[in-house]
Order: sequence, then C-alpha cells, then structure tokens
Amino acid sequence: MVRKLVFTLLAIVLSACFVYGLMVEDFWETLSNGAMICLTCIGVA
Amino acid sequence: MKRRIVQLFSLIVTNSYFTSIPTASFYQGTLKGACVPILNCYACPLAWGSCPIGTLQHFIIVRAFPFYLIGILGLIGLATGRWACGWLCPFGWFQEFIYKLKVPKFSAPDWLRHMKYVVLVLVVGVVSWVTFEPWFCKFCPAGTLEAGLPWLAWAARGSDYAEGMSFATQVFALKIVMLVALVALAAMMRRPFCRFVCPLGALLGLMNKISLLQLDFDLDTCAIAYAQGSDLENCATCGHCSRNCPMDLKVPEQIGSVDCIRCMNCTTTGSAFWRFGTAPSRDRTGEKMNEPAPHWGTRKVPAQPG
Repeated sequence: MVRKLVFTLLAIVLSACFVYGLMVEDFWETLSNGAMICLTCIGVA
Repeated sequence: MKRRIVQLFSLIVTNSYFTSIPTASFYQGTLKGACVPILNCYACPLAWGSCPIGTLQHFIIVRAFPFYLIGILGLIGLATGRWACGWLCPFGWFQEFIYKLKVPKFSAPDWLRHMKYVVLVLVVGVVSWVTFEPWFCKFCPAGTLEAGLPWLAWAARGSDYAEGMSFATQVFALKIVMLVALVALAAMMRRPFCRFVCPLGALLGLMNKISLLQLDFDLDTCAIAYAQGSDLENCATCGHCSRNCPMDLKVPEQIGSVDCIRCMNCTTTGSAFWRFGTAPSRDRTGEKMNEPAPHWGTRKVPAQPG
C-alpha cells in the first residue's frame, strides 16, 4: 500500500516536472547545449 | 543472446547519424533536445540524443533546475528502474565485451558500490556548481571512447597526423589514461564503471525498489535446486545466478537492490523472475513473499517421482 502510494505520488510529481520543463523550454536549453560540442570537455581543443 | 541484439540495436539507433562520416559534421537537430536514458556522449559524431549527465551538469552550471530532465529520467526509472543500463547502454555492453577476455578475474570490495553516489553528488553536482565547468565530462571514459577519439581522428584526417595530434590537450592524455585503466579493470572485473562510478546508474537505481518492472526470487521454482534434490541446502552451494550476474550481485539477497540492472541473466534457472506492478513481492503462484527471499535455506524440495 505504501509502495503504491509512493509510486503514484512520484509518478504525478515527475510527470508534472516533465510537462513544466517542456513549458519553460528546458527542451530547447537541452538542445542548445547538446548541439554545441564542447571540445575542451572532450579534450581535443 | 536476445539482450545482445537489443544492445546492438540500441547502439545503432542512438548513434546512427552516419552523415557525419563523409561530411565531418555532427547532428545538431531537434532530437538533440531529447535525453537518452543511457551514458551516450552527445559529442559523439554519430549521436542523435543528449547525455543526461552532461545535460544535468549544464543545468547546474547555468543555475537552472532541470525539470524536463528530472521528469523524463524519473519516469523512465519509475517504469523500469535500471533496465536501460542492462539492455540499452552501449558503454555497459562495451565493458561486458571486454570482460570476455581471458585474463585473471577478481571481485572488488562491495563498499565501492557507494562511490557512484559520491561521484554524483560531488563531481556532477558540487564541482560543476562551484567551477562552472562540466568536470565529469572532462574525465568520462565513455566520452573519450565515443567522442574524444573520433574527434581526434577527424582533426587528423585531411591534414597531416601531427597537426591533428596538436589538438589533443593534456586533459585528453589523462582521459586516455583513464580509459585504458577502465578497460584493464573491465577485463578483470564485471562492469566496474557501472558499479562504482556511473552517476546515471546511481540516479536510475534509486527507482529500482518502486519501479513497475521488478525481479523476484523464489527458490521453489529453481530448476537447478529441483535437479539436485534435497542435497542442496541453500543457494550458497550453487551460486549459478550470482555467477551470471554482470553486476556481481549475490542474486538471492540483492536481486531487487539499487544495483540490479534487470539484465534477466538470473532468470534462466527459473528461481528469479520478472513481473510488472507495485504490489509487494509474490511468488509465481501469487502468494505474498516476505523480503528478502523467504526460502533462503529453508527450501522445500518438490517430491521426487518414484
């Protein structure tokens, strides 16, 4: 019962996080970061 | 065998921007906004998606809460726990492949498993926050293998090799040393990076206890125990499941632990089985089980015919 409750609460919170993240344009922030290769991070520049 | 096919499929799907090979470019389209639930470097020239740990560090550096990343990773973890580590992660597959080399094998102390939480909190969290630099990426061996080496090869291509090598920094030399060390360790012990270092595994593993996909253990249905009859007092005299575990877990005791990657290797004898649901552990007949494995040492062997 406790496990089911924790699961349900987490599912609601995480879904809300996901939707809110899309609304505040986290997706595009992720995209802009992923599309810019950090050459110093991979150590070749 | 089935898992190998899925791992190969995952490797190809997440790293199939083959246009990059002739054009020496990399993918910068919309899909890069999607985080894959595996440690797949987004600096890899063939990669479509973003690495969640690189993204997490980026959000820490720009002082923003990663709602989207936490949401997507959390939901994946809530559905399957660390299943992606066992079935989708190309770097995990690489380590399993290296482990097949015929060299002496040994086990590492169990407490080292906690090191991945230190890496997650200190290196990914605190150090990124303080220094404004993604330091985990700078030393990530998956990044060296998937991105550093291809980029260096590109830099060398079309010009003389020496010019290409001049791009390599001291950081890169250190990354190579760490990659070589990891390969050496992976040859001698099972998935060392996943067990002791991977911050993504640490995050996903937190969901293992409550995820929909669960693994349970019921010795009454073990084919080996049945075949060996009442001489088998408990699993310690067999250890078949544990020997097959790529995470070096003691399967009967640790089957649902935060380190289990749901590879299903332990399900071959029938004692371990998977199920979907949030209900407490049950055996195959639906009878409620006490945790951990209730039949440990008290197995009732089915009556032998005749």
